[in-house]
Amino acid sequence: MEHDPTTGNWAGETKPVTRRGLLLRAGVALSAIGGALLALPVVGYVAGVLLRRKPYQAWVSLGPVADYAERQTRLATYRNPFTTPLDGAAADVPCWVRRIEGEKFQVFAINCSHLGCPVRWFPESGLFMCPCHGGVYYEDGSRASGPPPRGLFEYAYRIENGELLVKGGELPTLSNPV
Amino acid sequence: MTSLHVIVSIVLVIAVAACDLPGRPTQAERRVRPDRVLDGAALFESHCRGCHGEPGRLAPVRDLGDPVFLAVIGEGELRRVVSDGVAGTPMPVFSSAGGGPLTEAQIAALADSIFARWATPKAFESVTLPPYSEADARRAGAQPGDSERGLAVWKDYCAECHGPTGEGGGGALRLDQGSFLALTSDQGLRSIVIAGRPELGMPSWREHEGKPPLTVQQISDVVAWLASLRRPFPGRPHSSGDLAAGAP
Amino acid sequence: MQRLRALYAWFDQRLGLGSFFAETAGHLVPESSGSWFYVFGSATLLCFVIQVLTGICLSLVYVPSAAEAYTSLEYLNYEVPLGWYLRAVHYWGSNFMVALLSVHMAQVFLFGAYKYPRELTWISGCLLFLLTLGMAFTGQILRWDQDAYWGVGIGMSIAGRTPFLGEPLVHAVLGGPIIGAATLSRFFALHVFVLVGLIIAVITLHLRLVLRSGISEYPDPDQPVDRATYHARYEDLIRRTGVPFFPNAIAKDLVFGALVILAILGAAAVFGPNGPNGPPDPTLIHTSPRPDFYFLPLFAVFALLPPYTETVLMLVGPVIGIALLFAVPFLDRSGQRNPLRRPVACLAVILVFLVLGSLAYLGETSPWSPEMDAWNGLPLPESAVAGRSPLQLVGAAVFQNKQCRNCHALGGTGGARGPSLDDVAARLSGDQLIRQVLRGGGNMPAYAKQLTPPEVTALVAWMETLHPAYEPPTHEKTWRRKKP
Repeated sequence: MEHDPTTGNWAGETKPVTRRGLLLRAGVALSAIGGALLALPVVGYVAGVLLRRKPYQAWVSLGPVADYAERQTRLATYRNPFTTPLDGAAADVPCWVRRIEGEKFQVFAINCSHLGCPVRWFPESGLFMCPCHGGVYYEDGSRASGPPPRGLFEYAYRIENGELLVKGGELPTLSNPV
Repeated sequence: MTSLHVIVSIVLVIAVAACDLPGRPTQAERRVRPDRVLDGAALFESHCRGCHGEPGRLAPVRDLGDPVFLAVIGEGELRRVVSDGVAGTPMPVFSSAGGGPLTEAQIAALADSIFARWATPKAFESVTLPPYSEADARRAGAQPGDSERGLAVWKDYCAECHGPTGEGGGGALRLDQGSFLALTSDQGLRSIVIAGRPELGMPSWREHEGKPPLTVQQISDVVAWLASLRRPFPGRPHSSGDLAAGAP
Repeated sequence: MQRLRALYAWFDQRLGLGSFFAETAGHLVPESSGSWFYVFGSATLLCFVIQVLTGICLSLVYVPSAAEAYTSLEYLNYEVPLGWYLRAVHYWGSNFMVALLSVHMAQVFLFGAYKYPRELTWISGCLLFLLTLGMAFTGQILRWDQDAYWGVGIGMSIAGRTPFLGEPLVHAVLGGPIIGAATLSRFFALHVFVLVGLIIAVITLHLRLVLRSGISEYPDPDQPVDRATYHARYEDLIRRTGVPFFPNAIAKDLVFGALVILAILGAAAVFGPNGPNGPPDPTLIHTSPRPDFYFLPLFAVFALLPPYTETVLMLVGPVIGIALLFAVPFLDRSGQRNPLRRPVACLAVILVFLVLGSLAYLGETSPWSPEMDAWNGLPLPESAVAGRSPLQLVGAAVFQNKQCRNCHALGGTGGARGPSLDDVAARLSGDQLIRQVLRGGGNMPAYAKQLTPPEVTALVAWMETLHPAYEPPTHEKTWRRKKP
């Protein structure tokens, strides 16, 4: 026998609404609502990182200014201000602090501006060298040779109460230089 | 598969587990943080060998395996030189406090290893070693170096190889160049006069043939004379102040 | 034996799978397809099975936490009995899988087996190729050592170059502002759940397609593919020369598969696992991160591309390449299948492998990377120091001190970024040397600010002595300089 699933009518019947038809439509509607309600938190959870509005930036202390000798570039480390309890050593961020003189500094990110490998400072020749693809930078962070498209990323800094503070928190990339 | 197969397989697995297969990682291969390496020999290999070479081989700067030099400088002073470098010369700063790669513990381990491997303190027990630095010499009663007296010492002891005014014999031993003197500290000159450069054939203070060992005063004087040869603008062959003096 | 048969009958009556397996195993394939060239697909599948099994065993001990992962791997290496071997089998299994997959793809391409009616099989295969590379990349990251940590940074720097979407894309993949626990967890979920599920689904599709359209017959140069007549010809071929897959055609697959297993186990026993190479602590900056071998060509490309082309080529190049790969069955739909009659296809494959091989070799030797410890760890050859004057010796010391050796080799040791300097005095005069050192040029930085005049004088005085005995140093013919 023919059966019309939308109205629930068997062949020959002409009822506009049947229990079967109503139940079917209600079931579909409720499932749709339930599915949407389920999808929202899942999507929100996976994409949650993207919904954050404030940039990940905070002022971090790199220690007293007196720790950094003039005309020297030293490695400093700070703990990223946005960490989870599970990050371990991965949240310790190094950076190169160059004290030009007095209170004039340049604080360079450790990441090469080419593809992010850690650059190494050589005081004797005054060069930062990257081990991955051969990027080289001068003492002031400008590009000397190799594939990097620009100089080293620089953190904004300020001196407060004799302490050097930098605005850190994110992995520096070309679209998001610190 | 019979039970014999099963037993044999289990035995093989245990054998493999117990075996020292070449692929098995060893403790020696574990990565150590570079600032925690305390093996003095490894530190020497990775930080000193580039310029100081290996004992017995020719290298641009002094061979650290020279027992005379080690006896004269002493371990404390060696540590200080390694930590602080020598400004104006190719000896870099190594202490992390000064921006270098080595921690204090590492410099101590390095110095200990150098002395353990190459110093021969017994050979110098009965020898009076000249003081390492001029300050030490003055504390021991010597006068500050005088370049006139030094010239006399030079003519007596050094002119044979280095020429009467330091211009060398055929160029290979020339010392009166402004650039060379600018890149060598007074202490560096003093160390060479005292300990010589055995790998290059230069005798130490007591090995000059047919002559008595240099006295402490003579050492200070000859170093003062060499220091007086320094130019005001070294390394600039076209600056007017130097044209008369000739080549750099 | 009788009890086993009774047991089997009990299950088969309820499951009804016995006939399905018998049909699949016994389905007829053209006799010509029982060739050694056809073994690579099943070998790849075998590698995948090995990877899943060893992966499950690894996940019993491995802790996917940023703080603990490295420790758990060292624990596996040194404390768990045969833990190192399990890691090694998983590592070598992945190497073999990528290699066999590439060979399988090349073989299918060369034999034109992507032509009608097997286009969808090729496309599902390309999908599997991409998913396998995804597994390889995420797997490397799970090792969570120095190479992995900085490898993620490199991947993020590439993603970060995307216009407009760069920053949110980086944050989405990292799961936060920096590489941290969220990053590792995401890659763990991808590697263990998402990608594996997708691969299993696509493998099922791939096998279904292979069974449905039948194994392609060995290409006959006199029988090019013609859509109108192909099916009839294939049916006829099966009728005339069809043999059951099991046991006739599967024999070579079994042999090769066994050899592959033995090779993986042997390589694991002899070469051991990969690292882990140092804890993923970003403050440990004395590191030279390198990817596993299948990404070495990419690593070389990143070092060699001119900077102004990089962003475009990095983001657009792979898209074009992958699109071309997927489009192959539509660019070459029918016609000749035998490789000996397809010069373009053969040349294309040869070219691709030559290029990848050369780039992989360059990536392995990485001549563009300065040798970071050459300046203070590599002594100068004696020939460069013997018989020199004190000024020249100090110049040699300046050479080492200013890290010149990091890029320039002497006596065969040192960096390969710049030319070796054993004969530099025969090529450049003293004045040219001074100019080169002070001003740099090309890949060489300028050192004018870092060298004092005495250092330059001493350095050049020494460099002017660097020439072979049989070649005199060159000099400016227009200058008359008094020799020092």
